[in-house]
Amino acid sequence: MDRQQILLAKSLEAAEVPLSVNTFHDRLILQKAVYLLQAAGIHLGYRFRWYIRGPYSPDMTSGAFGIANEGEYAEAELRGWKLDDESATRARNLHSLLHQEGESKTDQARRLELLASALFLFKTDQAKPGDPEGTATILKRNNKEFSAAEVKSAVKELRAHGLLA
Amino acid sequence: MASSRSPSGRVVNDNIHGDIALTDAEWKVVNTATFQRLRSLKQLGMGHLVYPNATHSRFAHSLGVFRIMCRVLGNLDHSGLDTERKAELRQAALLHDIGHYPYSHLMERVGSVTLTEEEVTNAGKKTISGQVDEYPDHEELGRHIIQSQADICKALGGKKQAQKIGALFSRLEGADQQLSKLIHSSLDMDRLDYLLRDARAAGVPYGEIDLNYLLNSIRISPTGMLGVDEKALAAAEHFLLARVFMHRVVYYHKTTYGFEEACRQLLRRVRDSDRYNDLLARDGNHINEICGGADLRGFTDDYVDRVIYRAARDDQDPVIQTLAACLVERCPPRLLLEVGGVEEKIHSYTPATVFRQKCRDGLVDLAKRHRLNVGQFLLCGPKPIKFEERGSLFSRADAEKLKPEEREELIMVFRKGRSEPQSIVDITGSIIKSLSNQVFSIQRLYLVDRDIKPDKLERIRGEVRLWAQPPK
Repeated sequence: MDRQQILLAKSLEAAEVPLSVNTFHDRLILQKAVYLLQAAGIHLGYRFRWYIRGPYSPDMTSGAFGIANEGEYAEAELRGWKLDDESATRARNLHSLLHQEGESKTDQARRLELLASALFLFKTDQAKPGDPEGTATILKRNNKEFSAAEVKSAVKELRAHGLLA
Repeated sequence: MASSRSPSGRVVNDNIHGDIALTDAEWKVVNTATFQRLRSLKQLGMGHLVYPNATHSRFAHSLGVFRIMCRVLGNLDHSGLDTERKAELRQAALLHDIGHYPYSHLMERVGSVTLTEEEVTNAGKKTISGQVDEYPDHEELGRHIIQSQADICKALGGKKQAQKIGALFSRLEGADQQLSKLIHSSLDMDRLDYLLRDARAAGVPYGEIDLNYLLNSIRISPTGMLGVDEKALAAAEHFLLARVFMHRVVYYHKTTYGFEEACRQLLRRVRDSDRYNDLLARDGNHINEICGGADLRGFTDDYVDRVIYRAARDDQDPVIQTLAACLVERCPPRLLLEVGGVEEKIHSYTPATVFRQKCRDGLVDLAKRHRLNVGQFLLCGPKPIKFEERGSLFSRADAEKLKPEEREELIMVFRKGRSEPQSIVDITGSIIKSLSNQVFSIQRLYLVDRDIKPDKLERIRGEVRLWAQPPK
């Protein structure tokens, strides 16, 4: 396990996102949560590209599988490490964005897909936060069914958590 | 090798692809100082320390990827792509490596390196920081370079166009996902060039793929899916296997990899010491400053060499001294043990993970008994290599349940009589289907000590070999 994987595991632990790769929704939640954690100022060092489901990092997938495959050996190694205080605080501050009370995994995956995809489009100047209709149109062009109202609400959430100015 | 016509008359001769023709606009890009920097970046990092002719550059590779892209686009004449989009894809291919670091991936990954003492020391909890602004990856840096370097920005036709090309090679755009596969996927143009080029330069046969057959068999489906004809299945399989062989023999060669790991650990130590801020970028922000200004011209392999020479000459830290001396004097790190190989990656127990655990438990004591510094040991595992981009991450049964979006990087194959392709791991009877849950994964332990006596080295090797025993 390299430093990047250790940082990944400890950041997810701080944000209470399970490092689980068993189902498609697990993997989707993981991808989007890591994208948002990076946007919140934890330098995990993963490069996200645009895929069908929005921002996606193949290296992150490999890193997460690497940890999951090592099972108890990874657990033993990770026990010796702690995340720095600043990053731990940032991860905890994102908790209410990443999780909602009583939300199913499917709903969580869909919500995080919207948050991460919208933020990616804003950060790469492909859409503007003040234009939910335009953003929803771009998302639709990429086979994502999110309404302008949902985009508007996502922008509000991103702003509330300091991810958008 | 068939030559290609150039309306501008600009042709470059290449030892792999023959004549490479460029338009006037592309010629302008190639002739910028920013692009010419790629001549001073060795494609194979420190590979030349083992294979003397492996001194070819990112410059030649970039032209090769460009040539392959031109051929593929020529074969996709009926794809509906307009001339403008084709020109952009050609430029993206040409510039896909413009952000490469000195010694290629070596310097880029300094932040991920775990120093040996960090890994094996267990006194209390160690802190890992997410607040270190690590070096950006080469694609991100490439985007920054083409937008901030005036010469290349102008050659591309302005900042807006530079942004567009950068978005294409770093896949930021939502559009043209299938065409982005030409730059990022299992069967991307990058791999098609580097396997052949690196194999020829190293003088090994393992990367000799059937390039012409593969390129001639690429086509696009009515829904825009890229794939190869079924008749090229063997060529596609050979290509995927060649990649694993090339990693085994060339990219992860024990001596090359030992030198590169020594260099990575050296760079991480000197970067964190703050004594080299005039020579080595402190963080990602510093890298962006260098690459956004005139200092980019000197951001070549020499940039790292200067750090190594300074460390060898002046540094008082014994581990830094030892690592630098090994590089300057070409005294290879001694491989104590390599564990692993091609294995099924669905269980937590593998010889490599067990070995790493044993190293964590025993290395401090071993170093003490032999009066060595723990930092002289290099405990490292090269990135595991999959036969197919997704397959080995899953058991075969799980791989078959993957959603379409997770299969995106797989090589697609057009079966006879079908208009839409299916992924290579789903084709019954294909070698890749059988190997899709296998991965080439190794762990190594080296010792850096140019003065070590052969009998002492053998004693240490004997002790380390015991750590490779499987648990009872």
